[in-house]
Amino acid sequence: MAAHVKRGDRVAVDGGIESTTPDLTPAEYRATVNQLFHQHNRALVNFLLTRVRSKAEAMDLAQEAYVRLLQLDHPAAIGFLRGYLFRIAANLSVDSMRARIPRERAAVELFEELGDSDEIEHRAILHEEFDVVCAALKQLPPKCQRAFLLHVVEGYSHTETARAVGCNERMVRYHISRALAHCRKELAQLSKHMELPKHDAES
Amino acid sequence: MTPNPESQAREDARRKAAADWLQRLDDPALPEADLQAWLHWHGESEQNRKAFEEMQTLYRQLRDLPGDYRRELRRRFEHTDPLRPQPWPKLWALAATVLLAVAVAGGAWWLQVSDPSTVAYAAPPDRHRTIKLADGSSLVLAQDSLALVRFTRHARSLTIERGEAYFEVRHEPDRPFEVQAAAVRVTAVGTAFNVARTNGRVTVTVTEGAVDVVQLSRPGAAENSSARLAPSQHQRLNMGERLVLGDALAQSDPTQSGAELAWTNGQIQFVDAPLSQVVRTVSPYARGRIMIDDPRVADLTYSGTVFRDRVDEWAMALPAIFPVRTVALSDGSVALVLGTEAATVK
Repeated sequence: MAAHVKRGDRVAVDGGIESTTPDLTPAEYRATVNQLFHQHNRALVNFLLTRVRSKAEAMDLAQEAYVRLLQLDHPAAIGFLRGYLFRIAANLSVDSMRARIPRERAAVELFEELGDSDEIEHRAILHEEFDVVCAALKQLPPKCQRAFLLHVVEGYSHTETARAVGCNERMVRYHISRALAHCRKELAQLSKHMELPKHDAES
Repeated sequence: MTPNPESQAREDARRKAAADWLQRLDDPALPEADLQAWLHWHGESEQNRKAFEEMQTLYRQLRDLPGDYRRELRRRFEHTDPLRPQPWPKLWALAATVLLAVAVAGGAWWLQVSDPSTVAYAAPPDRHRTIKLADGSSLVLAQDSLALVRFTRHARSLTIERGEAYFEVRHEPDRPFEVQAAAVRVTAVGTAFNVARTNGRVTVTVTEGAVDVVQLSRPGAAENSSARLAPSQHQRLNMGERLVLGDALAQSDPTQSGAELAWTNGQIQFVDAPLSQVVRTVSPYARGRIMIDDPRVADLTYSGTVFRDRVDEWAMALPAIFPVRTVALSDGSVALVLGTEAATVK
């Protein structure tokens, strides 16, 4: 379904929520939002993690997005709640807005639950893994290596990387994706041979 | 477990998709359709979710690589010297010129700091620039700004010569991180903050942690004769607070911050602003006019970011956020009207 959606189009949300539910009572609305959260909280935190530094921060922002969704003045467009939820979260992830995050008890509780069940691992890289990553990168074309290292390790923006490597931004993204996927693949091989924290995607 | 070639290919494709998504999702102006497509993919299977999370873990591990690994990586690949300002040859000439000019004008004080360990960073007129410093701190220079950085064993001294910069400071108790802008000195206490130097004023905004701000008295007009500068104002600024210092007295404005840092991405940021005000602010960047007649639409509260080069897309996406719809008028402008039904001509 999503593949056919153009920018600016409105999209109805799946997951059992009606796209045209005019007047919900506050309690019904709250329940709807709750349901939305239980369906998408992992996606929301994963999404936020691409934009902030830490899991704790991602969870803070997800909570705040939930609170804002509950405080929505015009909750008529229930069908767009999911999109709205992610949009709020994206906006909140802008660094400078982080300072003013109020807490609501209900949201905190909801996320304590999430924290227990879906802990997203973030640990420092191991020696062995580091060596595997280096070896994997060495197998890639020089431009690909360089784009990857400049962007991921040195923190160059896509634009800066493109300029430094001498290609366009689309190619930079392609190089980085390719390098990431390749490193991940080699790491998956490693974890089969060693007693490492499980990264097993094949099951 | 020996994977057969078919499942191997499937896993390869899955990893590639996960890496692609990771690349695309951090786009601050991610199109709605891409988000929806990602949610679809993410929701499709547990393997997809795991692949994404693993990819993210790897990405973050490499991004937050400890210093010794980072150095080892640079040694093994020699991909770059991160502090070498290769991309900006022209600006470097400019920075050098400015530095020289200041050195002449500033007299003794400048001769003292103009040793080889001082590095000047300039951002071009049209975009900001992120710089990682040797101690792990980072600074984002706003468009058309110039900063000088000098690290010694006992101090980390930075000067905003022109413009504005945002700092994220690595805590080092024995080596204070000090930023000077005109006659204002800001000392970080492990933190993130912004210093702007505009029209004779210096604005300090703290987004994380705390800083100490000292306004140095300036005898006569000799702005740079810091040998005689003495602390006259001292104030602790905490998270979310902002301090504006003029030529004379400091005016504290410890109320709101946030919206001030929007320049870091060529974007305009709003916090709980009426939609009418938002539209007024961003309209100059739109191709056509954006109009609101209905006060119920005008009073909707918007928090978020608008990219100057994507105002039209932003306006078209409003119906995804608010119970409004867009009506294209014949003169190329767009009207925002209350209601979620498909657009009908009045």
